[in-house]
Amino acid sequence: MSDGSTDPASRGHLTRREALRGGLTIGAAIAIPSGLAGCFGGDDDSSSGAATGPTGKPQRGGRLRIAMVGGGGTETLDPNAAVPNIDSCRATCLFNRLTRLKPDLSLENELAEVFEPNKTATEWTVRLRSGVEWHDGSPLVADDLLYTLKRMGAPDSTLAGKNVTNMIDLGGVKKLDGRTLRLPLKSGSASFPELFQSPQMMIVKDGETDFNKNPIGTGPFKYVSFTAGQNSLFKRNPDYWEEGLPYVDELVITSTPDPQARLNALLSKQVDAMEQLSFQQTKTQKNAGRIRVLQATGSSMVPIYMATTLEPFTDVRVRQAIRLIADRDALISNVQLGLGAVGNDVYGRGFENYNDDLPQRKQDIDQAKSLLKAAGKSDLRVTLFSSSAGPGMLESATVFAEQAKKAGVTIQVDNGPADSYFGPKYLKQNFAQTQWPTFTIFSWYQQAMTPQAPFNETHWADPQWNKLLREAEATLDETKRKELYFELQKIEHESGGYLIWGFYPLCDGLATNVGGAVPSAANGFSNFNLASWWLA
Amino acid sequence: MGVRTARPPLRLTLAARHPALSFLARRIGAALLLLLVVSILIFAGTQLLPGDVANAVLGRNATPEALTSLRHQLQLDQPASERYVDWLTGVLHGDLGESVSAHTAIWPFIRPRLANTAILALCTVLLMVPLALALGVLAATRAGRPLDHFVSVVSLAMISIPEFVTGTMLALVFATTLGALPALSLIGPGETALDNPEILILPIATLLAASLAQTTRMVRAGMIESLRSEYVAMARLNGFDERRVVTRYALRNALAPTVQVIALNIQWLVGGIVVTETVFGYPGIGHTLVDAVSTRDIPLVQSIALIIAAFYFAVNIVADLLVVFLIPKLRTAQ
Repeated sequence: MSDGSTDPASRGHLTRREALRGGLTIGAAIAIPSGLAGCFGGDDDSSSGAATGPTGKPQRGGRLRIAMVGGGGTETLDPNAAVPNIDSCRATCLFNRLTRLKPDLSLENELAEVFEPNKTATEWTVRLRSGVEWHDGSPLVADDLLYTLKRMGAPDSTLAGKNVTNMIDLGGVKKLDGRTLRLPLKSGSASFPELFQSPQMMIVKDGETDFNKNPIGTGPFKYVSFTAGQNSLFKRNPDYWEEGLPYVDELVITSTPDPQARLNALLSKQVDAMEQLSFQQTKTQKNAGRIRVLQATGSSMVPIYMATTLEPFTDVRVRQAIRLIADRDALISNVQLGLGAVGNDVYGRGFENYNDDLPQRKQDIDQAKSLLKAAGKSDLRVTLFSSSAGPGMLESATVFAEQAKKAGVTIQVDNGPADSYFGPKYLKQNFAQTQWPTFTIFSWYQQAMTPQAPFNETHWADPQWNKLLREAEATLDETKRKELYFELQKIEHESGGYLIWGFYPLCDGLATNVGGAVPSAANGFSNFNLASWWLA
Repeated sequence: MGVRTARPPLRLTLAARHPALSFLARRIGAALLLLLVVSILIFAGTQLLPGDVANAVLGRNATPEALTSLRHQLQLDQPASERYVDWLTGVLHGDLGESVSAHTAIWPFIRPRLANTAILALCTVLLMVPLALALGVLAATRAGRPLDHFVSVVSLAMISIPEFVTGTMLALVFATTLGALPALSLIGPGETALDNPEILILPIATLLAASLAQTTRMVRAGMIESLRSEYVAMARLNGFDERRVVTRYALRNALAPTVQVIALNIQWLVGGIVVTETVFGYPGIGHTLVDAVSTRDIPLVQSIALIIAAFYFAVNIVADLLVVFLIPKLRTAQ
């Protein structure tokens, strides 16, 4: 795992484990060449009348048209500044990063040829793939990577990658040769390569600053045109370094915020694929069988959280009681219409180090009542800040408030505006909901749980947990690190501030002539790997 | 020679010589003043919205550090009044400023979208006016008969259905079920709305559904009143044939209030266009406004609102002028 390659044994383990859970399996966990995988589905249950993609050999050519939610005027082709999915998708088409997540959520190298640590994981050596060319024909070199890292880490940088470059002693980076850099870290991090898999970590060309006019990348597609909030046109990069890819000649990505409009466009054949089917649309379309549903469940979630430093949640018994109140199966069936997977109050479902040995927490009203009594909070009244900012967010708040009545807890749901939910009030609330996409576990810790985490929603500051994470990250032995990660999640499971009642699936709609689309829980559209899609 | 007699009547003002011109000048002056008030109101309104563009641009990457940095780059850390004055100064110099979310000058950003909306609105109005007149006159001349009832019931039903329902229903029937028309009004890279005119059909139909019904009803009401008047009775008694009575006497006099109604409906179209463009994903000014509000792009919201308000006032002024020309009484009255 240290060099980002996959271990076949762990992959097999994941498959069995997922299969045993029954029905809901993540991604096409079996190793299959991406081009031939059209008929395999993530969460697809074969009993429904759902349509499938074409089988057989991938075909070259054609224009692939996809509809995404979009971000209006904020859309950008600067990959490092990508925010909405549409930005990340375009970034993945035009650029490449050091590592990427495969459909089974294991890590593999993309532009990194070698990505290896010293014995304490405090220094990482990264060598770039040879023979990779920028769209203008110049070769990819170490200076490009160095420029990218410095760009992210600049003092006035607002880029997401700053979270990663903050771990690196940027002044001490050493160029070993034209393709190799040695990155000294401020402290040991065995999971370091994972942090480079996100679309915001794409490598940009040395000196590049203006991305919205003819951006130069190394990716499978080349820029032709782009209008923020409307559409973009890319064409096939004939010199792409991944043999034979991409399959289609042209790629049109359109911004379509309205979910019904996106589905209508797909049903009327104006586009070949659309992202983010609602739960209702997913159910209906699976039965109708006119389109294929590309579905996968990872760690994407809309949990409830309790700030551990704010009343009444400073008392761990209150947090435990709240978690015991939730009827998770009912939440999944009422809110997500049975789609997705039940949660166990820890993040990271689908990843190798996700602790699935923990006993599944179930609704226990009596215990919840006695915990609240012991804490002196028998008729707890609290406001839950909610919004329709994520799939099923407001609905789950309402259902949960209803469930809480049984334990004598009165929950008032405060429905805030969706477009500013993560605005000024965020991180100051004691009891609220949030949304997280599927990140690797360490990456999520970096954002939500560590002392430096910018989005520490639960105000988590457990000294023992912090010490354990440092220890885990200084451990290169994978088995040992896994044990430590399991230990970390055990602490979260016992005393953490998240009520993770479930994980929601990513569901995209595809025309039946789109081949090569393997569901990925990391992101919709096969983790935006549109290079492997083809049109029959 | 004749200097004294050649002199025009003493101190006749411009207003007296050109009553319509002076009327126009006064109306434009008032409109400009109102535009200023509108821009202040909109700016004040946007300040009440929770969150700002820095939050919208950074999304899930909005760390406190990044927020501070971006707010500084976008000069959001300056007082609101100062930002308003800056923007207004720019507008007075013919510069709408820069979009803070897209980082581009606003005018080139909205110009193609404005053109798209203009195409949509123009097509709608060009269809609505003659159709409304024809249907209204038809219904009025057959008042109380089955055709009149039919027109009335259908238009009442149309008025009570909001555009997002009409639009969705039309898309469901004509696009996803019959597959005859595109469900989304997408304009491809490098194309204009006129390259694929079929994308205009459903949005225009949606806009027509409500506005045509509204106008038809008003034309009908005006015509019925007109047909009951004494001069129509007189014309009929004089033995003019009914067609001439309707077109020359009744319609002509019913037109003045109708012009006002049509103007009202054109203004109302602006609201309908925002909804319709969103339903069909049509890249016009309404769609852009919705995006701009949700990304808290205040200069962009301000600019679009100003353009819409200016259009509103312009339609009003034109309608008033038309009425003055249609009704001789108003032309001569001082």
